[in-house]
Amino acid sequence: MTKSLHISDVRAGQELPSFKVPVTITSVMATALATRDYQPVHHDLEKVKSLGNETVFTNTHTTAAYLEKLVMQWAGPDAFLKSLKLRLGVPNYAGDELTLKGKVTSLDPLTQRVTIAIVGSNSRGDHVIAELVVELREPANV
Amino acid sequence: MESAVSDGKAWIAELRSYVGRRYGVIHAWDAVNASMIRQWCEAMDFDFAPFAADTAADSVHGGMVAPATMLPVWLMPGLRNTRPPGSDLTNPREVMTVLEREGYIGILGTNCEQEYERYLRPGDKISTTHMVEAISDEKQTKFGPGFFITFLQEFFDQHNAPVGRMRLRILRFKPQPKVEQKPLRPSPPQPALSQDTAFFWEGLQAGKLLIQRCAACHTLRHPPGPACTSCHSLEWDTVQASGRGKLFSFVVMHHPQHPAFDYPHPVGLIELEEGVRLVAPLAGTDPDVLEIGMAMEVVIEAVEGEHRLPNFRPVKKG
Repeated sequence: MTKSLHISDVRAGQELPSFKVPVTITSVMATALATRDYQPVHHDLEKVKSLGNETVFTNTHTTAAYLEKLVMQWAGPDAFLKSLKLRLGVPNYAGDELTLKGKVTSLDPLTQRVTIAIVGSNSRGDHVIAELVVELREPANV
Repeated sequence: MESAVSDGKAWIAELRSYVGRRYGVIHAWDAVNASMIRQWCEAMDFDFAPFAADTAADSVHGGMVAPATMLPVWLMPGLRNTRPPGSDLTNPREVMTVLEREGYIGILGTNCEQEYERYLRPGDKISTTHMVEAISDEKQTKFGPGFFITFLQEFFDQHNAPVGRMRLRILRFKPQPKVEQKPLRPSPPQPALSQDTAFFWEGLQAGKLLIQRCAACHTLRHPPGPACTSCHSLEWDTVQASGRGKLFSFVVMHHPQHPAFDYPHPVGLIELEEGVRLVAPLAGTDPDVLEIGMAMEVVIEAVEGEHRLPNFRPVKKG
C-alpha cells in the first residue's frame, strides 16, 4: 500500500505532482452521470450550443473530484480531506485538456492540517482556483 | 440596499423574502454504497486504496470510505428530479423561479465550498437541509446583469449527526444578445449627381445597370453626357445592360488607399456586350487571375453609404 505523507515531509511552497485530464464528450458525460447530474449542458450538444456554449463542459462536482484527486494522491491513504473552496473561471469544455497544479501554502504540525492552493487551467484560461485543507490523519474521534 | 438598477421593482422585495429561508429534510435515494463509489472512481480515473473494496480493509480507516467530494452527490435528485418518501418536497431552490420569471434565465455556478466532518462509509444514510443564505444586489457581469445566490446545504447521517456542509454560489443572469460587431467601414467616395448622371446611380439602387442612349440615333454612350457624340442630339433615354462583358483593361490599386476598399484593389475597364466601356471595381477577385478579354459579369453590391457599386467578377467557367 502507498505510504502516506508525514507532516515532517511537508514544506510551505512545496509543489504537488500535477496532472492533466483530457476532456472529451464521453468523459464529460461519464463524470456527470457518476455524480448523478442530468443537466443537459453536460450531455446535450444541441441544447448546450443553443445556450451559447461551444460544446458540453464538466460539472462542478467533477472539478471538485479532480481537486480531491490531486491532493489525496499526494497526501496518501491515511489522509482526510477537511475542506475545499473553489472559484470557477472559464468553462472546462470537451476537446480541451485540464491541467491541475497545486502548492502547499501553509501547514500546522499540531493539527496536521496542510493548506494547498490549486489552479486548474485549460487552453481558455483558469477553469478553477481552489484552496483545499487536508489532514494527514483522519480525526480520531469518529 | 438595492442597487439603482433594481430599485423600486416590486419583485425585488419578493426576491429578498427568500433570504434566510430554511427548507425541510431531504433524504438520499441511496445509502452510501460501494457500487456508486466504484463508478465515481472509474469516471474520475481515480484509484485510491481507501475507496476500493478490495484494498480498503488494509487502510487506517479499517474499511471502505467514500470520496469526500461525493458528499453532495448522495443527495442529487436524479433524472426524474424527485425525492424519496419522507422528504420535504418544497423546492429549496424555488427562489430561482422568481429570477427565471423576471428574465434571469442564464445560470452559472461561480463558487463552491465544502467542509467534511468525517469520511462517509457504505451504509451511511445521508440527509440534507437547504437554506438561502444570501442574495446579492443586482450586478453587472460580463454575461449580463444578474444576481448571485448563495445556498447553504447541511448534511447529516442516520444519527442526525452533521457530516458536512456545502455553500454554492450561483449567478442567475439576463443573457445579453451577442452583437456581431462588424468593423465599421466608411462609405466609398460618394458620386456627385448631376442631371446627366443621376439615372446611372438611381438605376444601380434599383438593381439595374443602365446605359445612356441617344433618342435620335440610338447610339449608346458612357460615361453619361448631355449630347450625343455621334449626332449631337440632346435627347436621350436609357437601356438596361445585360451586365455581361469582357475585361478590356485593368489596373491594380495599391496606393493611395481608401478605407472603404480592400487592397490590392483591382479596377477594370469593362467592355459591355452592348458595346460601351465602363470603369468599375473588381473587388473580391484575386488580381492574379485577371486576364484581358476574360468574360465578366456585374454584381451590384451594397456598400456603406447611399449608393451601390457595379462590381464585376469573372464569369465562372462551366
